[in-house]
Amino acid sequence: MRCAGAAPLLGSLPGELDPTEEALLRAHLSTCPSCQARQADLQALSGLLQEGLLVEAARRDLSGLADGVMARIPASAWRGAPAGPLGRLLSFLRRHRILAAASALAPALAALALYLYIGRTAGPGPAGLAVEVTSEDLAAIVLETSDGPVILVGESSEGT
Amino acid sequence: MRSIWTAAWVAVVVLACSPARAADAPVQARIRVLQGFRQGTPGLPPGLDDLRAQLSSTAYVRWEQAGEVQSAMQPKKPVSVPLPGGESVTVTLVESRPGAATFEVSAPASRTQSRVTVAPGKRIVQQVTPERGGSAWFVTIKAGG
Amino acid sequence: MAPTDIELVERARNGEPEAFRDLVVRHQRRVYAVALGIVKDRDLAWDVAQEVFVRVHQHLSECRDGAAFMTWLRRITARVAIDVLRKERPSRRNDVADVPEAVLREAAPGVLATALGTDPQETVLRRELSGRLTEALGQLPETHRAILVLREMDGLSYEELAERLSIPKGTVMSRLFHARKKMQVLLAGYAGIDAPGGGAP
Repeated sequence: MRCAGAAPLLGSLPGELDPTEEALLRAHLSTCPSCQARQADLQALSGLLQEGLLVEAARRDLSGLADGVMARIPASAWRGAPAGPLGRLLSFLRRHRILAAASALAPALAALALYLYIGRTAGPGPAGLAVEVTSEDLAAIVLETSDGPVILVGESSEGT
Repeated sequence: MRSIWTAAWVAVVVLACSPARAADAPVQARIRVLQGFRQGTPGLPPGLDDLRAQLSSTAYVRWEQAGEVQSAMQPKKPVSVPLPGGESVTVTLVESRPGAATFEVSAPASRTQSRVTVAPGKRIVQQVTPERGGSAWFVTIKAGG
Repeated sequence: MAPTDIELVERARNGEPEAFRDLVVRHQRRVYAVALGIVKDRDLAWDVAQEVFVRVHQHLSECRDGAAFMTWLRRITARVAIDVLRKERPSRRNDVADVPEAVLREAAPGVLATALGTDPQETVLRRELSGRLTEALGQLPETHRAILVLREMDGLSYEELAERLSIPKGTVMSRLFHARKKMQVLLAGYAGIDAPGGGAP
């Protein structure tokens, strides 16, 4: 790989280049001071750009912005708890640590809560792209966090 | 002694992965064995600090690390992770592609099997035994070291 | 301890306006900054930012947790800013001609990074350049500018940018490359840094 090929690939995010390209780029970078310097320029530009925009945004008095947003949301839109008592249960389970709540419930109800939780999700998880859990008899619960999924199982139905 | 509950498979699928080419590149995986306790002084040993946010979303407040396996995992080749006490967990790399690695974790002690896809650097935290006497065992898998 | 994004989202979903207002106040500056970078005009950026949060509220039920909220906020911001950009300039297709390589001759690699030094702390030059940042951005053709701002501020991937702008991924990559080059040349010019090879108009 030569500079002309490498330069446009600088500044790609992890996973955007296929492994071959990635490897060739890395190899080129390790021996090419010009491209290393280009990469340093990219980082310098990136920092300047973010700083420039954020500083300018900081100078602006944004205090009226939220008022304007709230004024555009009709009052009726605030009557919005998720449907019915099951919805409220779900919110309750989420507000308090889910496992703590679930272990206070019978496994069947925990399984129901799990089903509802999963049923409300749509689209990829934040850090995980897919989670499939198969559990015999113990209710499994999946918590999606920004660092990755946490998979918990309910209490054993066998005696402790 | 088997439980009195009839075996009921609860299969939960959150969503489908978007289709992508599967690569066969080995993935450097770091697997740690942890024990979580409900009682005791809340805290994490320094080696588990990267898991703080995830672990604090559970009801276990005190954590200890009991073991670690680092492995360049090849797709479809299971890695056995022993738990103290004789049980073990099997971790298998199902597939890896740029930006995502899929692991299967089989934990017979909790009668649970999972298949999880994560981006590099993210951690899977999975409970692998049911809670007994106020504590439970977990494994955590981090792809990409 | 301050509530997390997801806690605020939950409370807003359950009918607490104050929680939603807190969410807006928490994120408005960044949304405004991205909007400003893309649409250039401060009043328009204000409108964009408001529109973003109104849409966020409309789709609150789709958000599942803190990190998803950020990702999703970024996507809505990108969508609204680009829509507004297109609406404001309906027929002018001023970035039809991608800048030919020959015209945009590069400053020597490393010039900018060297001038700013490795110290990330405030230097006079740094402050001056970041102060002229929006001016430099304003010199880019619209799509180039939108791509650069969304990439640098919100980390949107080539795929996401291609999808948002309805252009091929290769075009995204080449426009990003040219946008960065042009910015470097402009900033080096502002700083009076000698740039052998010259800059482009």
